[in-house]
Amino acid sequence: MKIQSLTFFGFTVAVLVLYYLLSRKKQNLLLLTASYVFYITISYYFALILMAVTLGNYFLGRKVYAYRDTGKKWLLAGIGFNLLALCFFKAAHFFVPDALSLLSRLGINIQAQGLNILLPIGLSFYVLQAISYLVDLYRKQIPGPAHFLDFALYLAYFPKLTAGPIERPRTFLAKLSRRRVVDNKILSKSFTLIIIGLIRKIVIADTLLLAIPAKLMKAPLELSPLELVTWVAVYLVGIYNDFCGYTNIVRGVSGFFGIELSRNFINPFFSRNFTEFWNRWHVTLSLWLRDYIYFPIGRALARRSPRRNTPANIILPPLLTMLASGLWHGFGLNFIAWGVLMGIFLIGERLLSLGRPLIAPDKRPFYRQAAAMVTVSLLTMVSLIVGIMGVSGTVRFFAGLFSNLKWVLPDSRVFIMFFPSFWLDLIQHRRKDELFFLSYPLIGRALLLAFAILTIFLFSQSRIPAPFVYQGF
Amino acid sequence: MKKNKLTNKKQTLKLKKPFGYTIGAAFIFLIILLALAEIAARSDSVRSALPAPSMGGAIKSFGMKFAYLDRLVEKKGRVDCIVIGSSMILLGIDPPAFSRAYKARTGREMICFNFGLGGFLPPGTAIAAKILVEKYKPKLLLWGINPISFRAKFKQGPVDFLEKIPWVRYRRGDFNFEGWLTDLSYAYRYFLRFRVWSEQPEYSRGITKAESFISKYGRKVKKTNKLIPLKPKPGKLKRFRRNLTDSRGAKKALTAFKKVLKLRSQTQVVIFEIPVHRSVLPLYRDGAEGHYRVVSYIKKQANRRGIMFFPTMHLDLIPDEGWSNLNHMNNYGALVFSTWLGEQIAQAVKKGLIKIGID
Repeated sequence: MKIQSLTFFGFTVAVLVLYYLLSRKKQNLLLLTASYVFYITISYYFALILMAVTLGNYFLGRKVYAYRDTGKKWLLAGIGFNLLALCFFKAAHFFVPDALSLLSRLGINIQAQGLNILLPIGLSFYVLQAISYLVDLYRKQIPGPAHFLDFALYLAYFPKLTAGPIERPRTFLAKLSRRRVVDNKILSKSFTLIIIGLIRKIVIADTLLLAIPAKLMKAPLELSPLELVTWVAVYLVGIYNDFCGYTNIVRGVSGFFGIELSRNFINPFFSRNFTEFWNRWHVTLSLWLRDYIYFPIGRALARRSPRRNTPANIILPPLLTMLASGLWHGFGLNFIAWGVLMGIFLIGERLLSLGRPLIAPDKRPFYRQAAAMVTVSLLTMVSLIVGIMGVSGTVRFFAGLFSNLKWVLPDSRVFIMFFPSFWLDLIQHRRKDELFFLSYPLIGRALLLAFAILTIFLFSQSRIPAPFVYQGF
Repeated sequence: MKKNKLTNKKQTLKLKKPFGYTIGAAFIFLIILLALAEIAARSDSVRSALPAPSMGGAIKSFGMKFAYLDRLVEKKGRVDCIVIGSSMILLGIDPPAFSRAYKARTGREMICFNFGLGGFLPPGTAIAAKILVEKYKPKLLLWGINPISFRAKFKQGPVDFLEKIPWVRYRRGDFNFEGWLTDLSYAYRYFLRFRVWSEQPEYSRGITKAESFISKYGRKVKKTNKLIPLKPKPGKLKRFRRNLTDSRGAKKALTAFKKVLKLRSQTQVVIFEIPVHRSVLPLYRDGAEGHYRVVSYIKKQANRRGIMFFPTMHLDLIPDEGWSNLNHMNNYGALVFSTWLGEQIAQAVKKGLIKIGID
């Protein structure tokens, strides 16, 4: 069941009707049942794994809470359990096909059927949430172990199950324990989020991603430098709209249940440095990495050497954090290279700021802000190339970029879809309001809505809906 | 103060009046927007400024042909005959020449449209023919075939692509929303063309180029008018021979052929042999004999159902300078052949062999 499909729409409406008729506790039970039904429609095998992870973490959570004052043993066991699950499925997903092909090249043919282990959709997201539950219990940031039903729903809640946002237990569990209210304001906000999400996903992202020529990955040397740069930009904007659109849709859907989900994207292309970029791009993952990896490493190093600007303090926290981020995205050399590169960008930024007076980015002259935005976007494109193509592919890409000096411009129509994406981001950024339409007068709102519905309808015809890119992680 | 709440305190859903105004207004705007788009899409000025709309799918000239046929029907009020077949028809039938010859013999107007499509061998033609007969109700359906169309190496047309087009599925009785919408709305057809333009630039350019050759009567008009006698090159003949010796597609083609013959219950069907260059005949495994055997089979099948069939190869109608290549006529060849065909149809009408209602 795809989030942007009519089946999902029908499913959500059916669940909503029942939901509005039930009391809070029964609502949670309904949501949990609906979440598992939703997951089973993808694969019952995935649902079994989720159940196992839920049971394991619930048990470990009780132990962590009971023994939190006597040591970290249970916490480490819990983290280990989750990392093991994550690593097992990720490693199987990424390495088994390679290993089988290597063995087959050596003449050893193993029946792949039994070894064909699928990476459960959403595993990477709910495992991180399970870890934060255990850590927060240990840190006493949540009052005590959650009720089993609430905890199971925290991991399985269907709007966020397949690709986040990565919610924190202290806020999410609190929402589950309160009575939910859905009023006019929440309804219109949720509806608007869904409409924006569908525009981003169906109209912008699918069109852009579909337009990318296969040559970009397979034979970049056949493209001119301008074409190469444009198509990478198309890919970046496509992925952004794909994931941002997905998050908007699920936040909207969740809003109808009276459960607010976190924002995942805050106009990242307006970032003026990498630190800001990571506070705007996949925000819930960035914050998770910051709170559970970056800060703990920083604190551990500070305990060894309280001076802030030692090489270890400058290099290790960002490098290890971005390396973890790379590995979370996938167990491949390309993802490791991507993580290292992103880490280097963050380290470079920190080094450049050493000894300079601290000026807030929005206090800098406009040209410096604009130059910084372009630089961050370009370097993000470079990291994207590394992430897609790996190190050798990136070398080939740049060889093509500088050797194949045919100045052929890409077809100008690819820029058509840049415009709505940029316009949406620009207004959201300038007004500091992602739902700025809601402040328009009735006629303006209605006209925009009519146009949006028409566009979504038209673009969803004649096209097999593409799966969301981030579900692959 | 009067309470405006629609729900009680314990309920999750707490709506207050007014609500739904934006959505209501949006739907009114949506209806206005759709109506305006449809009016614009049907207006002459928009249609002459834009490329032909699409009916969906990935067959280059398919939607374009329907758009041109629609415009002809709108301008002339009707279409009397539709000529169907492959690229041999697309290039080889000149509807105005056909109509002139017909009028000269009968004194009556006959408005004809060339619905020949590249690659549309019998299986594809059978699908298109049924749609054409049901949608436009022509008085006469002329089908130009040649025994070479029954050979597999010439591929049996883009049937798979055709069957996937929602509009085609809809016209064939498999209801689907998109097909229905395509049938109903010109604006939607233009949107489909826009999608091709925005998402498949190369393919879109191909369609635009193909459109630049299409006349308002549907024929592909070659821009050069040089009359050079065709001298087939040995390499080309060899390739042609290879194609002719493959009969794997014959069964599919014959099934489709019989489907077209069944359309006689809905309209007057006439079949004619669209000629190929005379140097093709010896290329059959058993020489010209192989060609005439298929021709006589076609004739037998057609006559059994009371359908007229005009064989042509034995008449050697087209001079050497009337050919673009071995199986496609040029403008001159098309003029000669279409005039001949118009005269034959006129004669058959006069003799009462073909019954076309008089206006």
